[in-house]
Amino acid sequence: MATRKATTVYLYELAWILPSFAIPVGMLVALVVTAFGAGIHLPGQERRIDPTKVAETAPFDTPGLVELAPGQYEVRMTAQIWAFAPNEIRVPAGSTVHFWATSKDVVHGLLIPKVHVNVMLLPGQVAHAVARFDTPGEYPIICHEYCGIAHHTMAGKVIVEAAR
Amino acid sequence: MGHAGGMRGHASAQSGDVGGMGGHLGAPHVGWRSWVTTVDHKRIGILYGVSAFVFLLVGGIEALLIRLQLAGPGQAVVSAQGFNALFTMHGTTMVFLAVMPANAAFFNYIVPLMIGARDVAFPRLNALSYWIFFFGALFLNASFLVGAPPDAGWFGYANLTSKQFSPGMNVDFWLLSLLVLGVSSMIAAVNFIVTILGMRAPGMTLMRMPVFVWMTLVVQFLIVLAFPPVTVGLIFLMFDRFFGTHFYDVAAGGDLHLWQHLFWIFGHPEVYILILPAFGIVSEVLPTFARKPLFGAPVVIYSGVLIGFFGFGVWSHHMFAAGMGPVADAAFSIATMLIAIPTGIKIFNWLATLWGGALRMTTAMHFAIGLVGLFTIGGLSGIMHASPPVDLQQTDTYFVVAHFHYVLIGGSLFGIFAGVYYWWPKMTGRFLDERLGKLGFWLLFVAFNAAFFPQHYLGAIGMPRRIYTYAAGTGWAFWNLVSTVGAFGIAVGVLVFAVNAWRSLRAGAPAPADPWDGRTLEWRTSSPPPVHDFDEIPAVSGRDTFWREKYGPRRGAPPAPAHDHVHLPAPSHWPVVIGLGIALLAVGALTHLAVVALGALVAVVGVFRFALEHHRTPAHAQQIGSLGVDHRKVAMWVFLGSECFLFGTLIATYLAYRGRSVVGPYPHEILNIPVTTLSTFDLLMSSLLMVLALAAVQRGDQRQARLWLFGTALFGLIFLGFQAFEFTTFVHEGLTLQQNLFGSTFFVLTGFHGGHVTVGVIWLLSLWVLALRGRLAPVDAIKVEVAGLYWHFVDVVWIAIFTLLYLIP
Repeated sequence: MATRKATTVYLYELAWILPSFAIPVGMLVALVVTAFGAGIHLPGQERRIDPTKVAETAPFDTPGLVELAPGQYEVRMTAQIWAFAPNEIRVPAGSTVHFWATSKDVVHGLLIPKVHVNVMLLPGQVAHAVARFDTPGEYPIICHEYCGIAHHTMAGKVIVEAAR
Repeated sequence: MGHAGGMRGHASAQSGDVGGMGGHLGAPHVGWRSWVTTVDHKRIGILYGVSAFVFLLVGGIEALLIRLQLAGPGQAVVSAQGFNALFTMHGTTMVFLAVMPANAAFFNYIVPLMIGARDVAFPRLNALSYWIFFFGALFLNASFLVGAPPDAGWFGYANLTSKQFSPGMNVDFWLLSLLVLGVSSMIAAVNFIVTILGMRAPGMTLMRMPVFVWMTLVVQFLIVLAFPPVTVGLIFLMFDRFFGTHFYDVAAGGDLHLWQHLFWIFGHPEVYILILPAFGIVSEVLPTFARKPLFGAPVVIYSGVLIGFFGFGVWSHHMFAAGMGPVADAAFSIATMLIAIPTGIKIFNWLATLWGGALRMTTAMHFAIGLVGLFTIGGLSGIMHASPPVDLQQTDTYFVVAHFHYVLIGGSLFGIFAGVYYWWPKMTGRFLDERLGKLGFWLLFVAFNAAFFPQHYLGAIGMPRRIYTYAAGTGWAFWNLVSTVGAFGIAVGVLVFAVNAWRSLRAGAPAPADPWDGRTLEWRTSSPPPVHDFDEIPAVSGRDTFWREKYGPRRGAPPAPAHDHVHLPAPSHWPVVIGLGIALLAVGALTHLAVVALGALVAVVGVFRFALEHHRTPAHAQQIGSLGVDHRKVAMWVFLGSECFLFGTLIATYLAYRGRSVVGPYPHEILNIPVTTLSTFDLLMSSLLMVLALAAVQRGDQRQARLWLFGTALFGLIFLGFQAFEFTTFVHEGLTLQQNLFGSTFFVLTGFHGGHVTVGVIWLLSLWVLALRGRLAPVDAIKVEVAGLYWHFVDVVWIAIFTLLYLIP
């Protein structure tokens, strides 16, 4: 192997070197595209809330789906063992839905596969997530943070209706 | 050097017959009692290995039940409660009772041989850590017998673990056994750090150490520094559940991020605690069977150390969905991407080691190469988690399950199997059957991929973790079935290994000392090695020293081998007694206070007898290692390092929770600074007396030694008196553990410090009693010095506590 053609880059070396550049570049591109292009942002800690007084604290004193503007909805959602309230939401296709959610007891999760919602619901903390529902159909809402014996039953759904 | 304890060692050393597992152990070393009292690192290694395999089977059966339940939609093989217990126990068992002790088996058996030592630095402590592990493991699994197996998940997210939501004993079993197992790991880690740093054969510089020894060293440091935070987290949980504090009580002002941080700051280094030993094993197996030195060995070592460092800076990528804010997310995201670099370096170095080598495709080599491939898959899916937007799609889905099984089975378990097939002939003196071995490998390899590759896809289409069952319309059924079939294939693979092991022990082909044409020192002694490991401590002339000895070239003249007298420590039954005492403590916590008292009594008596067992054994007087420092001193420094993390976590929690109490009394209303200033002064002055005491013992001045030792203890007692006065005053003014968050954090932090002072006072008084009886000669000064290090540390910690709690409002 040690013949002194030191400057030549062999084909098999290139085969290793190029992918090792391509992988990080690809990852960085994926990061930028998902963050800015697809608008996926991490959940932040929006505000704190007393978990024993959720029902008396705005906005959870008026739970449910609220239409802010045409195609713009807000859901005030509470999680408790082992249910979401509300657990069924109907919006027309093309709607953007803001989820404001918190937990009344233990740590729950809010996962809606296919749209970009995956956030922990910690008691004492209000979580915020945004999703846009373009395709009509049913989207399951799943609690994906283990929360006790009936964890697997804790689910709801978003029903996206074809636009009239 | 005379030695009372060495006689039995000599007797058995003469019987060098090669037989089954116990064949090399001479006449006095037979029967179950010899195993219970053994302090031989090789026997303790075998004990760890057998225990690990038993718990691998237990955890495996739990996994099979989980997979049966999930094989199709809407099944009810087990109850929902049972399912939750199964996945909790599966995770806890595999991490703490299977993979960690399997690694410990290799640390124990192989590391002393690789560095050319006759045993570890503290053989009895080594036995102690095994027995604490043993009782902790039994205690955890005893939960099945009383029908209360832990069911809160292996990372037990607060506040599901609180008394309100988990009222049964389930979580108590989990947290108590984890505390017990943590003590065991900590003792072992201190022991191996001292062993590796202080007991290397002449000529074995740090950079000449085999890579497996290096990875062991890194892992021990990770254990020493990562276990304190989770220990503190578990102690908070214990106080919440047993004494009504508010650490994980959101309504009282607590924040549930606390547990997640404390758990994952341990939990992520734990991943490297599980995988780095496997990296070490592969770094030994590949060069041996490629007949080439490890490519870029120093870089492999450095990258292992770097992984250890970075491992502490990435824990929050487990919490991207928990809402920590963009700055924390970005920092942990970048750190997580960085840790892939040293890991990638290792992979490429292993590939370069294979390149152009004369490969011998033994079973061990199969598993090692299997690891390189499978771990790379697990590593790649790991880097994906570094990117928060991607991670958001995967958090708590089966994608994560697939990822960490690729790392822990494809990585750790394949590494462990490589190690078993590689070192089995050394440990037993017999070969494992290669044909059965390769059959087992291919079974495991195919079945493992069938079981876990589909889970990537299941996660991507939204199947969450830890669900008891799922509906038929989800589209998850087919791949779940495939996964279940794969899991049973893995079980068959493990069974094939068990058959192979059984056949080898009964009638395997005898193995010579150096069956693989090895490169490191363990192959230089017989298979299995004599009780004293080496007749003559070998001299080391470079990395792969045994290879150089066989084939050259040597670098320069080798240092002279050490012709020391063989001293083997006598068996001791105090380790198992102390372990039993600790087990009784845990049992008592769940049953009756009287059992706690009994357990404490047994443990304390055990500790005293343990400490004094060899007080007058001359061979134990000098323990100067190759660093030129006494082993006991190095051990104390390492222990104090972990104590820094323990108190650091306690203090950080106090600061994080400062000002969050929702009811009074508040700190400024209650803290009495003038009185505490007095007690602080008293404690600091005791350090001065401690220095005088040590000086007196060193120059053999019995009268002064007694005076100052007692004085130090007395000042400690005065400090404790102040603390008792302070605590009672506070309770009268309405501040209790249960009153508010301030009370919880204040009493637990200062109470822990007070507990450390109490231990120090007892220690000093014991030394004082020894001095009164004239049993504290200048040769014993090291014992006073070690106690002094501890005492000074406790004083220094108080300065930090006094400043941060009392002086800074």
